[in-house]
Amino acid sequence: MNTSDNMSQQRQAKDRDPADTYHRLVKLARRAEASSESSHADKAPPFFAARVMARVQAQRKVDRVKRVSPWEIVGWKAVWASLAVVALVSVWAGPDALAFNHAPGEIDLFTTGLEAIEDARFSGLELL
Amino acid sequence: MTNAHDAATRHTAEVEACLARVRRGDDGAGNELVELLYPQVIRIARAHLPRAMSEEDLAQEVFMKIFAKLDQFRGDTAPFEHWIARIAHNTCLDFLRMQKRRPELRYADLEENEVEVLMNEHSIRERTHEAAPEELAAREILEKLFATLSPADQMILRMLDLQQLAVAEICQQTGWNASLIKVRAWRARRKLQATCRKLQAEGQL
Repeated sequence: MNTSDNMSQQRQAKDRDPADTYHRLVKLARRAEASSESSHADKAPPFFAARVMARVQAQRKVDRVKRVSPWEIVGWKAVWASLAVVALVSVWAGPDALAFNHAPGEIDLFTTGLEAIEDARFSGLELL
Repeated sequence: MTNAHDAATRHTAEVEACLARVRRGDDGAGNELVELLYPQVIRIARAHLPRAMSEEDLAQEVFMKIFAKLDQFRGDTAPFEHWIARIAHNTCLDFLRMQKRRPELRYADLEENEVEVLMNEHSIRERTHEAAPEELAAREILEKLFATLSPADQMILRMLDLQQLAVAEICQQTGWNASLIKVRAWRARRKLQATCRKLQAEGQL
């Protein structure tokens, strides 16, 4: 405790009227507190620490789920799915198939796709 | 004195070792840390316990906050004990804020034994192990009086007058400014002294 604290406490004590009801109540209550303090055990009750740690673990799980929002999960899935499609198509038709400008004679994925559909339609009609 | 100092040093070293293990992700050390910090946390919780809340529930809430904020503790601004005390005090303050404040205390709100203690000068008896009835009644009246104050004022008066902590200690434990504590305590005491006078005047009518 520093000197200014000591001085202020002394000044407060001097200011206190002995007949002051508030300070009389404080004096009595302090004695009650002292009696109850001695009867309280300061050791954690059985399983208290285990209960706290179980709540802490549960809270950490909730926080982990909260940190990654569902929208984020769906968003990232969509990004990975489209990247996988692009990779598969480029393996199947060659990387140039995805380019917008096609040199004559190169495979154009869009035209190739349309041709495949047309072929399927005609073969279906022929079957009928 | 030396023994007490040695015990405190040993306790601090144990807490620090345990804290390091918890930070490395050792869950078993978490249980040990709770056991080591329990006496400090429960003393603060007990001192500011809001009505209708058990001290164990309040202590659990304090520990939840401690573990949630453990990564934020750097150790360069305040020792771990002060950091724990601040979290405990702030948690108590949050719960006191949630509690409905009593606008005014009337004479009719007091029990018969409380009226007796308020109106009569009791001679302070010899200290016994058990609390005397007038001491318990005085504590009840004080609880009712404190309930008319703001949560922060309640905390300050409890620490200054009931726990008899020095202003410097309260500053360390709460992080509040010393002049703020003194001014708030002075105003709160004046308010309670006026309430006591008003109650006594009502009782004499």
